Amino acid sequence: MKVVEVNDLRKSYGNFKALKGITFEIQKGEIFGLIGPNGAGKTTTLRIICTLLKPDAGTVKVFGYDLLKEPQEIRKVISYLPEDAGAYKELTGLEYLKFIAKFFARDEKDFQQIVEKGVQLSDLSDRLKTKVSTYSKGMTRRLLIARALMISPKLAVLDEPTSGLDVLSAREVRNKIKEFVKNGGTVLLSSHNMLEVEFLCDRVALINNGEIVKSGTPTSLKEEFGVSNVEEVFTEVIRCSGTC
Amino acid sequence: MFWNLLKKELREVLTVSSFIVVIVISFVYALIGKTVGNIETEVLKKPMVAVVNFDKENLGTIFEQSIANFVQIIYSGQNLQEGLKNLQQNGGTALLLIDQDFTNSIKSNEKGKIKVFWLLKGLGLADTISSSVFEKLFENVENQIRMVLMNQHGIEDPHFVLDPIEKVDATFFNQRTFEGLSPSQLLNITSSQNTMTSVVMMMLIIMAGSTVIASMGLEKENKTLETLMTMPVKRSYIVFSKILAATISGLVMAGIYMVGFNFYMKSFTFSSAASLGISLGTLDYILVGVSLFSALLCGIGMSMFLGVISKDFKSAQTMTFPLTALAIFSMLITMFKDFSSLSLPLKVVIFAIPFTHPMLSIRNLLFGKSSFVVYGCIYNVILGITLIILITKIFNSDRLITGVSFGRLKKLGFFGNSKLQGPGV
Ligand SMILES: Nc1ncnc2c1ncn2[C@@H]1O[C@H](COP(=O)(O)OP(=O)(O)O)[C@@H](O)[C@H]1O
Ligand SMILES: [Mg+2]
Repeated sequence: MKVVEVNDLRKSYGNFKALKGITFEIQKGEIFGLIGPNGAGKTTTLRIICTLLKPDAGTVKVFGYDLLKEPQEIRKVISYLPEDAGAYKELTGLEYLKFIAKFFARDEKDFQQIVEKGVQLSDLSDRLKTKVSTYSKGMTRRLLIARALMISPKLAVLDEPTSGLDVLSAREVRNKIKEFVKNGGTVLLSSHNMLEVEFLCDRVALINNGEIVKSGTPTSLKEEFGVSNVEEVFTEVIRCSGTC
Repeated sequence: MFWNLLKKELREVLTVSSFIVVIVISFVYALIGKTVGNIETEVLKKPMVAVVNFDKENLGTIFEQSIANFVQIIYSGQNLQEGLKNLQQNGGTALLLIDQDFTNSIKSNEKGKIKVFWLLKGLGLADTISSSVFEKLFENVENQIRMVLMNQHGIEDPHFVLDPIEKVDATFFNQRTFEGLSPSQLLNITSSQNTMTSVVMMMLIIMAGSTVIASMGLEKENKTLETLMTMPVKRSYIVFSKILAATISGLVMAGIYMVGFNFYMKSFTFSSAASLGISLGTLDYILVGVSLFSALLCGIGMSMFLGVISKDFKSAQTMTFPLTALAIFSMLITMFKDFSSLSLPLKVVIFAIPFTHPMLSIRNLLFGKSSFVVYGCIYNVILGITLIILITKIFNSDRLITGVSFGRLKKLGFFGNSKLQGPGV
């Protein structure tokens, strides 16, 4: 089943063409990685899929719902983690989880379950009782990952979930994402770290200057170019574009 | 080296927003100056005064003549009705009625009576200038009478010679006559309450406004708003809850201010206000509250708008400035001038600024112009709703995420790289 279908997506900021016709699909149960350098158009793509920006042209479907016609339906099944996001500074971590849970819980029991799951996912134990403003970057990210995944969304959209984190924290985040997919979720994430995606993603699309230059599984891409990692694949693709 | 640094610092300091700030300030001052600036000419202008002299004897004539040295006499005669009509038509300051027994009373060592009918055009500080000027002049004239008395009588009864005239005031304002009150007394009675609403309103707008703008900036910086927008929540709820929360907290603050201010103002307030029929009833206070609420709603809507179009916390902070300037402008202008004494274009401007309505409300209610207050509330509510609709529109567009760029200004070369790196760099 196709979770996301993006077809010839275009978006400009003023005169600047940020997306120049992007096409890809995501299957259920996949971790799909949108990989590319800074400014490639990853955030723009994710924001459009999450109903934050309107596309100039092209179609986007999430679980069969059309982006422009039924954004409300899409919002019910996705969970978005913005790049470099924070939480409300005045709330404690626990209050923040409860605040989000209220929007999704069907009843009191459901609410308790969601919060309980969030508490577990965050791994913040006692620090959940202190204000978000006192959290380190790693702690904030853990809270936000927990927030994004605790509601068991059908699709989690994570914009650079590991960027700026130390090795251990990044690893922890990657494990949480894998865990989530194992339990039946689907993930669309972006990253400019081409090495981590090999470990994390089932399929990747390499994006550069608003265009997808290559896509496939990390293994097949490496084989195709005869190199040892995705970073080299990317370098090859960019070098070849135009000449080969 | 130094120039290189200076160039970079200048580029940081001379931004579009800082120019906007300065332009707004100058505009505000220019406007206030233009409206209030004629204070000096008003002070120098001779007040226009009508004199009705019923006294045929010499002191009455002396009084009339000496007053003519200081003022412009617009009517001199024996007919009170005629005199009052003249006063109204010419927009004069006051009418002096010299009692028919003026000379006789003084000669028999009783005070001579002079009644002053004041014509008051408004209760702003600038509106009452001509009356205070005339009040001073009146004392000069009284001195002349004293001199005459001293010359004629010597100082047998210093007490009497020093205070020979009994002045009785009556003030016409807004189709009512306030017996026994001079304009400055009337101003005193009303200004304490009026100052309170003006100051409270200004503080509220500045405080609540900057809180909202800062909170929007923070939401953008932390992407919390972005997160909320991808969740199954109605966007109008997000907008409305934010505005309502800020308004409620504003009203709570207003309440606290008012209580504090009341204690402070108690010492200045005339207790006679009620007996003169110029005090507020429960309904009036409700109207003031509604007016305050609606203006606050507009102020918060405006700040929300400014917060929405700003990109991050820092640019949001500069956005508070136009709002602050507008609030201070409203306060000053309503303190100096009464609505009714403004020129038509200014009336339009003042009416259009939502904050002026609560600032003028007490004055208007005290003098029975409640319809003006009601219209103000209606206007504010309509403006507030329009703002909310506009903000919700922005929430549903890309603007919320991308902010409003000054790209077009950049292209025109108002600021930025093209200009500073001109030829030769
Ligand atoms: N609000 C905006 N206004 C103008 N240009 C923008 C805006 N947002 C992003 N861009 C531009 O669009 C391009 C793609 O941005 P983005 O999608 O954020 O890239 P990525 O997430 O891959 O780093 C960049 O060149 C960026 O400068
Ligand atoms: Mg990005």
